[in-house]
Amino acid sequence: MRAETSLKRRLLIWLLLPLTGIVTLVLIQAYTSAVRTADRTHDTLLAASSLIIAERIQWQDGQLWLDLPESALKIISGPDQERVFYQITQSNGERLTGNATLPLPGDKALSEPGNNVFFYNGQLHGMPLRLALRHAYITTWDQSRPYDIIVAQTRHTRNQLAHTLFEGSLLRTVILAVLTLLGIRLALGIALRPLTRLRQAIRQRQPNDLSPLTLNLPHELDELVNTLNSLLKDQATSLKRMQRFIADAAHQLRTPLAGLQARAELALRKTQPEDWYAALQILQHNAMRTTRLSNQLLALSRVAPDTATPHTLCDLTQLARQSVMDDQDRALEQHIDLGFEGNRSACWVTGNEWQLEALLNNLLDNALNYCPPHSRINVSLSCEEDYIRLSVEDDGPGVPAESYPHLFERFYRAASADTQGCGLGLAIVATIAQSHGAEYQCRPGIDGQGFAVDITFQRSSPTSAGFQD
Amino acid sequence: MPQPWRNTPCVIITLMLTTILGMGQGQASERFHYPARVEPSSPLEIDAALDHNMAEPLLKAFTEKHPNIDLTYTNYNTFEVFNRAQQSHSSKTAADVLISSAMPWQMQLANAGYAQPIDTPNARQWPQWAQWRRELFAFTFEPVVMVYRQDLSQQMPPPRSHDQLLTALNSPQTQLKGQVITYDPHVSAFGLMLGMHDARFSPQFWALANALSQARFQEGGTTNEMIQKIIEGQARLGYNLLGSYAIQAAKQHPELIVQVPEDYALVVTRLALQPRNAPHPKAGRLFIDFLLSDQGQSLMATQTPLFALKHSIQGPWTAQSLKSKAGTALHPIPIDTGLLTILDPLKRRTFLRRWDQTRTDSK
Ligand SMILES: Nc1ncnc2c1ncn2[C@@H]1O[C@H](COP(=O)(O)OP(=O)(O)OP(=O)(O)O)[C@@H](O)[C@H]1O
Ligand SMILES: [Mg+2]
Repeated sequence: MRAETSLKRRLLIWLLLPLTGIVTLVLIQAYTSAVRTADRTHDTLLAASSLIIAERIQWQDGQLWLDLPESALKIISGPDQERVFYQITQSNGERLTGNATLPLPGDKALSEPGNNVFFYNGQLHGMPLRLALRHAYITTWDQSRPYDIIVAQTRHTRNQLAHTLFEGSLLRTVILAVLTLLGIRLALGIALRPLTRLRQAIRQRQPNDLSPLTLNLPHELDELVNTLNSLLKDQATSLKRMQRFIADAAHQLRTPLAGLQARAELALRKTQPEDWYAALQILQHNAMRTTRLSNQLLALSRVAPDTATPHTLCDLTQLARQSVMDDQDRALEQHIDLGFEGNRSACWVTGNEWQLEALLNNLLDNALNYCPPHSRINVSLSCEEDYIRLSVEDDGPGVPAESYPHLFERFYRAASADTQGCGLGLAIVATIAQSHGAEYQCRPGIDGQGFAVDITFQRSSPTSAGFQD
Repeated sequence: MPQPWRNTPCVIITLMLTTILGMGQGQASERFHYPARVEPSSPLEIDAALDHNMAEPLLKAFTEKHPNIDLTYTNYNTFEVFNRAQQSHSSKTAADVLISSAMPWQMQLANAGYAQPIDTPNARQWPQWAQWRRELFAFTFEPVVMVYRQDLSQQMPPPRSHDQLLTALNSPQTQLKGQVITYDPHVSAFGLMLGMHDARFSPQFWALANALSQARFQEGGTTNEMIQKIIEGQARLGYNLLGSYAIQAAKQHPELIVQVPEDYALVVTRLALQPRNAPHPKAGRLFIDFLLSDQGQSLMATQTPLFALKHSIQGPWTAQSLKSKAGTALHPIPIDTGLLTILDPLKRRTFLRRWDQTRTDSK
C-alpha cells in the first residue's frame, strides 16, 4: 500500500515544514533578545562607570582635575576580568586623558535627541568592544564646558551571558519541538487508523462479495465509502444483468438451433431429393434467422450501458441522411417511399457514431420489414434550442397500443409480426438512447396510422444522464 | 656535559648606560647570560625589573632543570621594561618573559592585549586573586616596610606603625628631622603607586605627608638607593620601602631593622607576563610555570626574600608566615583594572598637586 505511506509522509512533511519555520523564527527571536538582554544588562554598568567618572571631574584654577576612581574601571571589568578602556576628550576633540584611543560612534547614534549616553560597538587592535559615550558638562559659575567620556569593555562577558540565555531558550525550543513531533506522530497514527481499517476491510473481502461496506468511519470518509459502495452496487447490477442476458441468449439460441436439428433429422429420414430440397430451404431460412439473432445479441452486448464507449461530436443530420441513402435501394425494391425530412445544416450531438448508426438502422429495418409495399417511411430531424428530436415514422400496419409498453423489452415481438425478427431491435435502440441520455418513445405514425419512434436528445447536458436498467 | 663552572653564571655584563625618561636618573641595565649546556638549545629572553642577586637562585635552579635553555636575563628599571615592551612592536626586540613590580604598567600591558594567556598546570591552579585573565601572574608577596637604623632605637622607641610614625614626627623633641627618607612620587612611579594606595587607605595619610614635610624628609628614586643612604647614615628611617630588597640588604647589614607596619602594610607583588609577540613562547611559558611551581616558590621562601605567594610552601619568607605575624594588617594591592587609574595623567596630577601642596604649606 504505497499510497498510504505516502499520505503519512505528506502529512508529516506539511506539518514539519511550518514547524521548522516556526522553530527557526523562535530561535532567531530568542537569539536577538538574548543579545539585547545581555547588552542592556552590561550597558547599565558602562553608563554607571561613565557617570562615576563624570561626577569626579572638576574645574579648578583654569584646569581640569580628575581623581579617577578605581571603581569606575573595576565595575566594568567585573569578575570575568574584561579588558577596560576609557578616554576623556573635550568636545572639540582635544584629548584630556585615557588609556587608549577609542573609536567614536557613528553620526547617527549621536544625533538621537534627548539622550546623553550612547552605546555602540567598535574595535580596538582587533578586539571587539562595547563602548558608551557620555556627553557631560563641567559647570562653573561663569561657564559650562562640554566634554565626552567614553568607557569601553571587551565583549566576553556579555557574549557569554547572551549564549547562556540563548542556550536556555534553545533547549526549551528543542524540547518543545521534539514533543510536538512525537505528538504529531501519535496523532497521525490515530487519525489515519480508520483508513487502515478501511483498507483491511477491502482487502479481506471475497472477490464475489459485492455487498456494501458497513464500517463505522469518520464522516470525512463517507464520500469515499459511498463511492465505493455505489461502485460495488453497479458491479453487482451489471453482473446480474450479464448473467440474465447470457441465460436469455442461450435460451433464445436454443430454440432455432433445436428447430434446425429437428428439420435436419426429419429430412434425413426422407429419400426423395424434392423433400431434401424443401428441407434445405427451411434449414437455410432458420440458419439466417439464427445468424440474425446472434448478430442482434452481439450488437446488444456491445451497446450495453456499462460498456464504456468514447463520446465524440457527431453530426446527426449527416448520419440520418446517410442511413436513408443506404436503405434507398431496399425501399425501391419493396416499392416503399423512404424520405428524409429536416434541415440540411449540421446538428451536433455528443455521442458514439456507430451506436447512433445502429440505432437508425434498427428503426429503418423495422419500418422496412413491417410495412407493405407502397407505404411511406419518413425519417425526420428537428434541431430545437434545447433538444434534438429524431423520428422514424411510417404508415404501415402499426402496433396495437396495448403492446407499446413492452416493445422496448428484449425478445418482445408484437403479435402482428412475421417470423423474421428476434425481438431485439427496439431493445438495442432503447439501450443506445439511454447511453446517450436520450429519451425514447413510440406512437402511431404518419396521419395517426402506422408506427413511429421518437428519440429526444437533451442539448444542455447530453452525457450527464444516469444509466437505467 | 657537566662542567665545573656550570652553575656559575657566565656574567657578561653589558653595561649599557641608558638615560631613563621619567625616572630622572641614570642606571645601567645589566645583562646576564646562562648558556645552554646541551644541544639543541632554545633561547629565552627575560626582561626584568628585579635585582639580579635576588633572581639568581631562581635562574640557577631553572637552568639546572632545563639545561637546553640558553637564558639571557636583563635587569632594567621598571620604566624601561614597560617602554621596551611598548616599543617591541616596531623595534622587534620583544622578550619572552617580562617581570616587573610596577604593577600598573604590567596591568596596562595586559589590559591592552599585549600579553598572551598561559595555560600550564601551575598557571591553572594559581589563586584567582593573584592573576589576571591568566595573562598576568603575581608570584611574590613583598610587604612595603619601614626600615630604620638600629641606633635610632637607642634615642626613641622606633615607630611600629603609621600611627606611631605620625606621633613621633609630630612630637616636638623628634629625632627624625631631616632623617626620614621616602620615595619621590614625581620620580618613581612605584612610589606614586604606594602613595596613592596609602591615601586611598586612610585620609590620615595626608596628615602623615604633612608631618613628613614638617620634618623635611628626603626623597629617593629606588629602594636600593634609599637603603644605601640609611646604611651610610645620611638617613635613619625609610618609609614605604620594598620589603624584599630591605631584607636582602639587612642580611649583610645587621644595623638595619625592617619593620612591617602593624596597623596596615601594603603588599606589592611582582607580575610576570609573556608578550604575545614573544619569540620563544615555549621557553617563556616554561619559565613562568617554574616561577609558579613548588620548586620556584620554595626558592623564594628560602633563598631570596621575595616571599612565596603559594599557600603550601614552607620557609622563612612566605605569604603564609607573613600573614600569621601581621594578620589582617596586610593589604595586598589588588591585581585588577583598578591599577590602571594610577597611570591616569589627570589622577597623577591631582595626587602630585596635593603632595606638593603639603610641602609648600609646611614651609
Ligand atoms: N414499423 C413497425 N410497424 C409495425 N410493427 C412494428 C414496427 N416496428 C416494430 N414493430 C413491432 O414491434 C416488435 C418488436 O420489434 P423489434 O425490432 O424489437 O423486434 P423484431 O423486429 O421482431 O426483431 P429484430 O428487429 O430483432 O430482428 C416487432 O415484432 C413488431 O411486431
Ligand atoms: Mg426489428
